[in-house]
Amino acid sequence: MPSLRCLRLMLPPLLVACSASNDTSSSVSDASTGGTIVISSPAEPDNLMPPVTTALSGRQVEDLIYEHLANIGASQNTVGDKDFTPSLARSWSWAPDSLSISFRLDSAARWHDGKPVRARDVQFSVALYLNPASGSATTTLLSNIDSASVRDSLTAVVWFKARRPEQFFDIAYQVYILPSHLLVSTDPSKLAASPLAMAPIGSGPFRFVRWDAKQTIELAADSTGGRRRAQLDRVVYTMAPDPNTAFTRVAAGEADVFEAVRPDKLAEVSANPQLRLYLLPSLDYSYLGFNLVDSKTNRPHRIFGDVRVRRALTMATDRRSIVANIYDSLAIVSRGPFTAAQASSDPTLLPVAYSVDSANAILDAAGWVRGVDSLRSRNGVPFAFSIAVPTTSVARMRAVVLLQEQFRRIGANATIDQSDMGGFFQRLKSRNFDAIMGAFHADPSPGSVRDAWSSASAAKDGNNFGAYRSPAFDAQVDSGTAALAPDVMRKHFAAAWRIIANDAPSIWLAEPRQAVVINSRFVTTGMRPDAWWAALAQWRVPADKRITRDAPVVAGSAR
Amino acid sequence: MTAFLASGGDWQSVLRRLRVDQRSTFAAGALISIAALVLFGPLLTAYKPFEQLDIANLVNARPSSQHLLGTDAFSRDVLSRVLSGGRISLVVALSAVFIETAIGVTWGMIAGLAASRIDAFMMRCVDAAMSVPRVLLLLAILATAPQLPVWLLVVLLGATGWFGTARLVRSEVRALRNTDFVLAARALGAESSRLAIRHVLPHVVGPVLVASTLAVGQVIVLEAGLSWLGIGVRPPQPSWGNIIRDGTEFLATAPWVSIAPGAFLVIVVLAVSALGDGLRDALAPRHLPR
Amino acid sequence: MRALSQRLWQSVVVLAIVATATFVLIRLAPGDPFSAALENSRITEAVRAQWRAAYGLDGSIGTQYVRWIGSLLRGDLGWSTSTNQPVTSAIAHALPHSIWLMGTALSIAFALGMSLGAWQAARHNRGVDRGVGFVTLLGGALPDFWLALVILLSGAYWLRLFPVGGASDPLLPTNASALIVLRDRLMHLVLPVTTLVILITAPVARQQRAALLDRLGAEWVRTATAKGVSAGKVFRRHAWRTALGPIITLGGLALPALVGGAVFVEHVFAWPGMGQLAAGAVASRDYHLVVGCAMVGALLVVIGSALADVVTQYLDPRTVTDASTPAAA
Repeated sequence: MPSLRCLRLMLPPLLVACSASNDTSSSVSDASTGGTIVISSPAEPDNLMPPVTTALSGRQVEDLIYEHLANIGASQNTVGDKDFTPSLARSWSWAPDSLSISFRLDSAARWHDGKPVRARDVQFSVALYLNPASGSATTTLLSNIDSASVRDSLTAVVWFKARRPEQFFDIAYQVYILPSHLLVSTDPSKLAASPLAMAPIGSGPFRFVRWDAKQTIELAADSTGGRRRAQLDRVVYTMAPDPNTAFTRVAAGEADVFEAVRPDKLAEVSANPQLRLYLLPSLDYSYLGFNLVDSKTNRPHRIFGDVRVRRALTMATDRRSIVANIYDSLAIVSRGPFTAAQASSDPTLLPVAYSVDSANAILDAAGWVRGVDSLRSRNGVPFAFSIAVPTTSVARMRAVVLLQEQFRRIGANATIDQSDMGGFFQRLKSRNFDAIMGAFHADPSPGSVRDAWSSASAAKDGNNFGAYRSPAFDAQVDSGTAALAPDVMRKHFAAAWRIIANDAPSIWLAEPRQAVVINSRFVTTGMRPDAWWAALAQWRVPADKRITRDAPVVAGSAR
Repeated sequence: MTAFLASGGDWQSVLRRLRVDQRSTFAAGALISIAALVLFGPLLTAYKPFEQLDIANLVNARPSSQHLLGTDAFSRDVLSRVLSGGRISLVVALSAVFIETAIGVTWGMIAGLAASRIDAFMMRCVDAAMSVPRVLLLLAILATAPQLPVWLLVVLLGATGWFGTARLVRSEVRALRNTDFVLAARALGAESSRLAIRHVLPHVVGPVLVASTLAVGQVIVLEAGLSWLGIGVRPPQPSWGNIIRDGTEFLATAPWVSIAPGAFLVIVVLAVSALGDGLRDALAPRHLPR
Repeated sequence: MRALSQRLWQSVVVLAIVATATFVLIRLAPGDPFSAALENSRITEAVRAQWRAAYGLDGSIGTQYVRWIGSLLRGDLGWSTSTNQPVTSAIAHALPHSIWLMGTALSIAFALGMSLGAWQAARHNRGVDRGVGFVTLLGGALPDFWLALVILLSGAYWLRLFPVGGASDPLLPTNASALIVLRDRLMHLVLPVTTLVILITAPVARQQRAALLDRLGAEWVRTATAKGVSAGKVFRRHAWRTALGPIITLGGLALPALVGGAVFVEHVFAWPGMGQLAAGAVASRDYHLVVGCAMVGALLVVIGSALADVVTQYLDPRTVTDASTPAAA
């Protein structure tokens, strides 16, 4: 192995030549399929039980093992069904009143234990997701789904409470179909503790092989059913908690994919001919959220209760430079609580212009006057606040230090209140903070904005931590979400974005792009903003580019 | 042995011996220069340690005539930060190590000289304290007192770092208990406290100094680790530990950020160790076999 | 024998205290076991309460403690909420990796440190003594996270001699021969062990040197020399033997490092050991796993300290007389 590494370092062309000669022998038996993809992952999944998985790293593995009824398209269009492609369901039809959809399952679909996939599995899965006892974070997103029923063994009918533009998206995107015969006796409140959570059995293109804690998850192409087999033989996740280590594995050729390349590694990536960088829009944005309400007195916050102050701080923030500093070219300035990948995005909305002078003028007018130490105060209240930030996020820690310095220049004294995720979460839930350095991962649905900014989410359990309340904003978002025509939808959301930008409950900072580096021997396809791995089953390694680890696994070495 | 006892406890002669020792003089000189640098240096530097000069264009700049040690990821002058950060790092490290050594030596001496029952009790306390992860202790403290002043940080570091020293001292003292000079002193009616200070303490100085001098470096680095939990020095205030930690992220592309404070750290540890060695030799001249 | 049973009894008390203290402390820390994953999770307080009940984490600290003691008496350390398995199996998976890494590193570091220290002591204050002292001290003064990354990048990336972290090759066929598996394991071991050895050798070498110098000046060593025993023999027979005291104490102190001593090194080298497990448990507020890890640590502390005491007594003739005549105290 080390000798091979040296060879690759010094003479890359030679290696291609010799692996190609290796390959001719095996290509006789198996010309098109084959190959191993090693994905270097900085995070380990919390579990592999879809309804209760919270980590995105878990979702990624589940997408390869389990299936949805239909898959969302690269357009990320969540309205209706026209941009969806068949998956576990070969076809579907709407009831005349649109309150139910019947899905015709692929008769060749098999669970990885050999049992066929049947309509009762759909019925079971929907019931499980809807059961509050399951503790699924998805349950609240499925409020429009009533139930699912079995018409015949291969036809499942999903029933809705009301006609909504995203009702197809709700059932197709949010719900994975799970094996009822293996879960029927599991206590719904202890899903994460079931054996299946550690060794899943799905119906997707790859079957689970092993999970070696904090080291490896291995999947293999499944050929149980009569459906199209994945091109690749194996998918192997190798975990390394340190992002530097995780990246180095790919740079050194030990692994093939790393999905969170940092800007300071870009030069290295472009200098290495074996690596190819893919930039995808993401569904994440980061923001500095103000707490508008004092959690102790329940009255407007002493500083951020005033919209003028919030606007001034927004103007005082040089977002272009901050984004360039943290992300280089790997992010764009965020303009509101949406991302460019979502259909509700409004490219005409301009971010608030950076102007320290205007910010100072507004603060002067609002009664915040500079003292001897050039810090501002009003009626004896110092212009001082703390920003809570989780230390686990490198990007957010950087953002806070940059913001602190920019706020200092307009006479604000921001202190940084750092803690680990547990401590940070406690602050959010108890609403006990002045400002937070937050990050939000949206799902493709434009309606997901309600989760963080609607008046309803300002309640105790919601994710509207700063308690921004605007009936006008809520109304536009509701209308936009209910609109069936895309242009009507966009019009309402555009209005909503202008309302919230004007109220400035937050400084929207950055919209990072996903920077995925992939070994150039792979022919990739079908990367989506929400999942670069969406079509991994169709990725392949051309026969002439295969290396040692792409050789077929010797029979008996894996189950 | 008798040579030491004859001169034993004569602190003036210890100091004299220390002064003629070249190595100690050199080390003391180095420490004093660093102390002077961090004390007065920040007054002379052209930039403030938290000043972000140009976050778009002056990031991780190489060392140059403008910025002798380059700039960091926030376009701040590394030299200004290292000098300013040295104040807090040195104060925290030296005082925390002083506290942990003082507690450790006292605890270990008492346990070592006391009756075996008390000794067992004291040492099992140390066992228990050592087993509770420091992180946990600090997290719990954080829950009750989120904003920790620096002096409390020092106390905390000192109070959670003395267990090893106590064990070392205690095992040395136990070994010394029945040596003829201690027995002789005891027979002559020496009080236990006098016995401890006059006859036993000089003999445990060796291992203690070795442990303490290495602890100086460890505490400086540990402080940076604590800020992970929200304890410790908060940004933008620099400390050697957090400059090194932040610089480690850019180790491959901007090594100067972490190497500069690292070099200071290493010099301090080397100087403190050399001083410790000198002190040990000066305390016990019998160590020098001619 | 009585001393042994007494020591055993004391150790049990220490374990109980540690378990109780960590049990309480981790519950004082902000956050709870079902919140750490995502800040925007849509999991409501009601669901979290339901989970707390399902995993036996509801009720007051007192009730939880009683419940936990109950299951402990049945040999059950509880359920690990972050790794979705019993605490015992999480520890059983990580502990061998830790012992493999730290055991190797400690053995090498102590062997190397003791030889270097002795070699230095024999050449006291000469150039080589100063030189070696400088180098070991330099190693001991480096920040662990910094050194680990430097060694990882140079050994695994710039030179490409060794794999980039991990404990084994994930692609190694399960039917590979024992020899190949061993070779693979050793290749993965080299870089993290090198890092740890550089960090640990310094205190060992310095203690060894200081202790030897101390003993070489002692009266009875000089008596032996006067009697005509050769210098080498004095060194080996007398000074070396008695100078082991501080080193053994240090060894006892190092034993618990098997558990939490290498958090940063394990992190950088993606080593699936106890350090990562314990750090992850604290970060995700996995209450039972934290207590479990602390108990393993405490077990090693009491074993380490008991072993150190026993070996010191056995080696040092002075403490032997002490032990045989406890009335002297």
